[in-house]
Amino acid sequence: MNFFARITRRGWLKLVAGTVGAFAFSQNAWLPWNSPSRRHDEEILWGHVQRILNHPESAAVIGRKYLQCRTCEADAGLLTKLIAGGVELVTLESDTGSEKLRKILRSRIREDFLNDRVVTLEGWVLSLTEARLCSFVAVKTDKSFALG
Amino acid sequence: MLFDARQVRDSKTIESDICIVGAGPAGITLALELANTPFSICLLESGGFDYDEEIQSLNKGDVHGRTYYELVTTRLRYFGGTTNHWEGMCRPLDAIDFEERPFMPFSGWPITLQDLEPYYPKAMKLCQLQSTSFEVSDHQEELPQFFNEHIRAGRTTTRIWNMSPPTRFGWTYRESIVKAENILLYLYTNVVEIETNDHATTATRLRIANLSGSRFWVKAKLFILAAGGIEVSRLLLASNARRPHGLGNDSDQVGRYFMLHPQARVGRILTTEKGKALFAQKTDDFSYWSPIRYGVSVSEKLQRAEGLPNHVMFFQKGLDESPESVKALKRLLRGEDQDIIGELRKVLSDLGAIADRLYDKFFEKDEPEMLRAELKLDHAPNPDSRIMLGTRRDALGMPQPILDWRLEIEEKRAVRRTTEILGEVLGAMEIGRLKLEKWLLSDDNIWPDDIGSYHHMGGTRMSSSSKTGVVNSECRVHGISNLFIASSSVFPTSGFSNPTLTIVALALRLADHLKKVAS
Repeated sequence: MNFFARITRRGWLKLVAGTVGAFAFSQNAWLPWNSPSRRHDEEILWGHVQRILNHPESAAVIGRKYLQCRTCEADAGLLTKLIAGGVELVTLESDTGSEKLRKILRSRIREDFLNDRVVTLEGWVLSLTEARLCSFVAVKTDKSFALG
Repeated sequence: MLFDARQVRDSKTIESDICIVGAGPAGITLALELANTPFSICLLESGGFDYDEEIQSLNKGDVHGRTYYELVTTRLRYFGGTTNHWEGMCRPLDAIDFEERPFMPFSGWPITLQDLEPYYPKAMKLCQLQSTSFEVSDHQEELPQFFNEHIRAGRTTTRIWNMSPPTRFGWTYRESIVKAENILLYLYTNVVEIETNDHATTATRLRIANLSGSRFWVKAKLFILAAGGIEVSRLLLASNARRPHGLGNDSDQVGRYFMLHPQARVGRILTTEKGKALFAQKTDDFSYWSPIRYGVSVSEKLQRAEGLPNHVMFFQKGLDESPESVKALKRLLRGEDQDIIGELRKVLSDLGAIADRLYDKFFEKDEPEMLRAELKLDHAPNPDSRIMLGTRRDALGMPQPILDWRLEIEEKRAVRRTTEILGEVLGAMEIGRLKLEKWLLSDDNIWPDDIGSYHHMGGTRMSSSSKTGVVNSECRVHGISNLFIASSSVFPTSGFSNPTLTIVALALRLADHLKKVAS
């Protein structure tokens, strides 16, 4: 009896679900921060970050250092969620969005420093938000992070 | 009255009520306090009124363990002692410096700041301070804005130093000492041994020698060792005729707990525009004419919560010379250099430095301003950090000292944590970002080489028991009824304040006590 002859209807459904799940997992699409709307958020954030940062290449250098320590965060969607921290990024889809984001980040960075959410990367004492922002740039610009 | 001991005939005995060994800030202060009292005072100085190379060489000794300066350079052997090259920074110890802190083994004085407070004003007068306030509120106008503002968050505090001109005690008080009728000042007088009675419970006389060959004795009712931090321990250890391990050393305490104020560069700060403005100086920070100096510390509350020793961070302007790798990168980018392979090698060999520069660029649009951060530390008392006697002898036959000073890995961790907290404060104030120095990033006991200061403390620490120290709270050597010490060698902990002002305050306190005892 071959494999297909033995499989039941319930078994077939399980197999399909598993295969789809595995594919989704490989693409990180099952994760809540990788839903289409989140992908849109990621693009909004990336657009603004490119405008905000003076020198994204430098930010990426710092970001890579952070991701060496926290490999689990090496995902643009997850970083978008962590950086946004509850802010609906769609609300920043305007010409003044970058300025708004800059203010939000500035305030969050300050809060990080006040509340001990601080990381030391290669000696730099940085806020967690800064480190994640740099990591976001690293993930977006470095192909080695493409699979998360 | 002034005497040159080189003219004293051999085997003579000079007698007085009180004999003070050493004419540095402590010895001169004691003599000034005891001038024109009914007591006869004999003040003994190893050198003359000026620097003399041959006499100075009596300070020679060896350094074991951690790197330090040549001992011969760290103290001065002539009238006025080390105030002859003193920078003049004055600040009392903090109350916390006297406390026994659970996170700092062997900390705690048998006296409190309150016991010493009555003597600080007079000490400040002797050190000729223009201002006697160490309160930030009294110096607001002189301080860059940062030093007033960072305090608001409650995590850090500003520390103030008032500057002495600096007072050269030898010059300033020479006439008062020489003219005092009850003071016999003997120059070129080196004490090579303290003699005691059979049970070593009373000091009886001092054996004196000098480089011109005179040998004589000084007898007194009370003896005060007012020499430098190393010399006091050396003399007690070398006075071993009645006690094989030296005087005051029945519990093996003499020479131990030796402290310096380690001071090292801990980071650099990349300032924002706001930071630049807040650090703009109203006075020339490190000029000799500045009446005050200032730094920042983590608050006492946070020190206690995090188990950190007392400390201060100083800021100085100035960017380092670019590392060779960064210069090479610049040359490559400009196409200035033909040796592309050689330059690339330099770049690749130091990617860390290049990453630093890239971060600078990321963070700030304009050319960033850099501040250097240096931390001066309350050196934790450590019984293994010590002065011992070596086998080599000086020109007078005294064993030369060996200094083996120690720092522990816990202290390095504390320096790192302290620096990180200060980095967080700078970040929260949007002043800039702090980068820790490379030596702080490794969790080992490796420190920079040049971190020792000239502040010698400990060796004959003050304690309530002879088991844990050498002198009692009145600075009398445990077990010896008439031998006292006026020196930074009695400090059980060092704090971070420069020691001279406290040395003078302790000498004033001892003078008060001696007046009672001698009466």
